[in-house]
Amino acid sequence: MSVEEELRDTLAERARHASAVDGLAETVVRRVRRGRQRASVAGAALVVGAGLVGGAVVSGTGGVRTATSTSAAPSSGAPASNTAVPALVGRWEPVSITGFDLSGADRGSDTRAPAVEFGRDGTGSVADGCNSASLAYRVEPGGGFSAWLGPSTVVRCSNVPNDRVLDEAVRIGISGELLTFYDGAGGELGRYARKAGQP
Amino acid sequence: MEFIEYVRTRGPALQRLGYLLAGDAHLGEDLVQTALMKAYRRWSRLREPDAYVRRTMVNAHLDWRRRRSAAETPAEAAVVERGAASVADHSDGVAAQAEMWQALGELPRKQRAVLVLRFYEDLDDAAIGALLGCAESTVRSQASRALGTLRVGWTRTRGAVR
Repeated sequence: MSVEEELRDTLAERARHASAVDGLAETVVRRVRRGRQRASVAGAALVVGAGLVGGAVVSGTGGVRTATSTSAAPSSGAPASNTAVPALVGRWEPVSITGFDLSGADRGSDTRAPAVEFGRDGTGSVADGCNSASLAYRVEPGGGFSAWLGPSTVVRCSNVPNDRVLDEAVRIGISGELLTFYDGAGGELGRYARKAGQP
Repeated sequence: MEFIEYVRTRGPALQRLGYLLAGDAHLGEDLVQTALMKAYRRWSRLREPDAYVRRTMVNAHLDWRRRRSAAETPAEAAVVERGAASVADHSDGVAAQAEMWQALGELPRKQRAVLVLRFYEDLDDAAIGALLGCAESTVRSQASRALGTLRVGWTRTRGAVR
């Protein structure tokens, strides 16, 4: 028997003894959701301390980034601020998302059509065409923006990555009926148009 | 395919791969869960979830091994130390596999991954290169070195048995 044959036999034999853990999928989902809930709680604590300008922001996936009002200004669009939050309230549909082709995306049902919705109370929802999640958001003076996403189902389709846009956004700009999200480097993440008939 | 369905279908195979990559049941389980958690967070955007999960597992394995590299035993030294372990007390087959498993565990991180992917997953060099993020030539050289190291120990042990 050659080394290669012995190696193949050894790996096959060892693999047979590898234990299969029951409930693996449920364990993974539980761990991810626990992480998101921790992030959400931390985010809520920051929202309570709304006197902060900039500061640490916990992302929806548990990472930490900083949103400061001194980052590069967006190249277009008037920056939103606390007083401009009413301009953000409503339902927004994606017009363009960096790195994603919207033309082939599933449009979903009315309730799960790709869109982001912001309420007056700092909460909202995001849908990608197949899944939806609740969110909390905060807008700071100068257009600083942060969002915390809640648990979501994970049905797979040609999902529109609205959650990624929100997760990575640290600044927004609103120009008329157009809402633009920017990352920490001032790069455009996505543009959204206000859904017709919305406030 | 939904995430839960995917894990229920592919979970056992992923756990076997994790165990073979890590060489340890608990570390293997960690590899699988780490990769699946990453996949779950972006499931809706994954075009080839199985490739993503396996790639993440391999990369996590390499990262772990890199962090632990100071504690690794040089492969050549390990072969010498192991030398002609007594196999007379065991059947030849069982002892040979135990020797092979030990030798595999003492290989450098990438070499072990290449062998597991080639001889267990039956992937070709192009697929292995894609998973490891390296060229096919690198895969071939890593496999050649790994097999060379195993062959040295193998020949020595076989010589001692006979």
